[in-house]
Amino acid sequence: MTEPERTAPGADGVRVSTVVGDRLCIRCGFNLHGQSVVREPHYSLLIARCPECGMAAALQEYPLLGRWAGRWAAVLAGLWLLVLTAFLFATAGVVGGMSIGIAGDFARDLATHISFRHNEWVRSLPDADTTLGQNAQWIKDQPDNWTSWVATTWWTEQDPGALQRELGGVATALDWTALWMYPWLALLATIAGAVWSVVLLGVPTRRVIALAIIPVLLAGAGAAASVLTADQPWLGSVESAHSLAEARLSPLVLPPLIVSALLWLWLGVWLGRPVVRGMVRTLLPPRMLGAMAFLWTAEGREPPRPARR
Amino acid sequence: MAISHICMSCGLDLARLHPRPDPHYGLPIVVCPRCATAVVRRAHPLVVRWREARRLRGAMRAMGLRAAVGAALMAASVGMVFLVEAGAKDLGVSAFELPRLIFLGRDGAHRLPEEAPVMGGVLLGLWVLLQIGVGVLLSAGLRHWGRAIAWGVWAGLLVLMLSLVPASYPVRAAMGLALDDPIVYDGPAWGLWAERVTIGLGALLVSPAGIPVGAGLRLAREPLRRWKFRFSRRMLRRARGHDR
Repeated sequence: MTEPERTAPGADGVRVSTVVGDRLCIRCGFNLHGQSVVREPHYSLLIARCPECGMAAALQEYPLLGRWAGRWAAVLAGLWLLVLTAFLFATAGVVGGMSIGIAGDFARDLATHISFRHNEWVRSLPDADTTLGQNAQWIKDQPDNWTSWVATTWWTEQDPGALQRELGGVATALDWTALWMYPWLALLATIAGAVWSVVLLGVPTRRVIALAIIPVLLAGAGAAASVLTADQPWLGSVESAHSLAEARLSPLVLPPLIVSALLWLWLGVWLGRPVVRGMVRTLLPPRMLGAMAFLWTAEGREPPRPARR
Repeated sequence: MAISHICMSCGLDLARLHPRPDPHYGLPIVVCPRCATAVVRRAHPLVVRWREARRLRGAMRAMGLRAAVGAALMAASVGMVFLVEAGAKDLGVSAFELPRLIFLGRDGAHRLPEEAPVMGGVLLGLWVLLQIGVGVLLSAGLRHWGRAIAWGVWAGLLVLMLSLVPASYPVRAAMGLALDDPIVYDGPAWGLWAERVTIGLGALLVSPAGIPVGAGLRLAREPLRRWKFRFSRRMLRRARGHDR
């Protein structure tokens, strides 16, 4: 880097005027207000020298308004990155959470069947109080539905595949009414995709489509963790019939749900920008469209112009 | 203090000179008092960004306002139809008979409370105001659509909103069949739906009364903006005077 020549203020040219406005030195930030404006001898350019560090300020340039502008810009950029990261996790949470929820609903029929078989076993026990220990009364009073709990001692002796086959196979073991919730997953994933496509406006759509895989991978990781921990006997002697059914069926249901969520997310990314442009064009009068012109220019499109009369 | 602005001809700092809009192009021109060079007062990039951000905020606010007012007016229009329908149902008459019963006298078959004409009048007044609001939105807020399109789209949306419940049944029935979980239709009968749509669209006929109100608001906007600017400047001067 070339070091600027350090000379006394006003000593390197003809003094023509004085700085009366605010202009900060680009090196040390000192306000050059009151300094002499001189026409330097080499190129006849107008300059003012900083009395603190000797830096010459080229007066054709815009004056620096202080270092805080740059600092605030950095803070804002950091905040923006933080918001994007939070939204990334929010997208993953919505996709993963709703997929896990729907997969859980799919497992209700099998859970009810498990609880029914378990309660049959409980009723057949000659001495249930001794076998079931301190939970005996509570377990005996449970209804035959998917919210019931089963004794771990009974479950360890069962063949989950056989229980599933008793319902007639995978397709009939699934509670298909869980699909009532699916349109919400599709809608939220599409909206999330549309928001991503607009917040990453400067990024080409193809790259946003590639980036949309990240939250889905995160959601997939969360879903895998939930499947792996579903049949853990957290309470020791009893386990939730629903969790046991989920552990059996979720590996089959979750992957297609998450992959389909990715497809909806992509649809949102693909439609997001045109839809937002359409909304802007619909709701704003032409004279206000200029402020939103970046929605068009960021993609190299011609911004809308008022119709000629 | 003003941002430094150096005359490129003689080097005099023009920061303290107030720019005048030139009569030909409307540009903020400062004429150097020493060398008589005319220079345009350039805005600093930061100021430009700030103005852009404010303009964007204004556009987003205008968009949000139009969307929110539109949604509120649509919800209120649909709500009014259901309110009238509920009142008629309570009395066991058709909604079309309700005005006759309330305003033109009672018959022996229907017992109405004493305050029914007053309440009916208030409701009718609110409905007219609501429709004038719709007219203002369509004629001033969404003026760029053109009147025929604006009213056509609004009427279509109103019919769609009034038909959402019955229209959802074919989808729900199809899903019910697919899931072997059939549903029973308990939505409005054809006649009731037609009554709702007729009342909703009939009320919309009042909305063109909002056109002159909208035009007045549009004409008042610029003087209001100027007054607001002058007022804020006067307040600023007064505040500066107090500082001194």
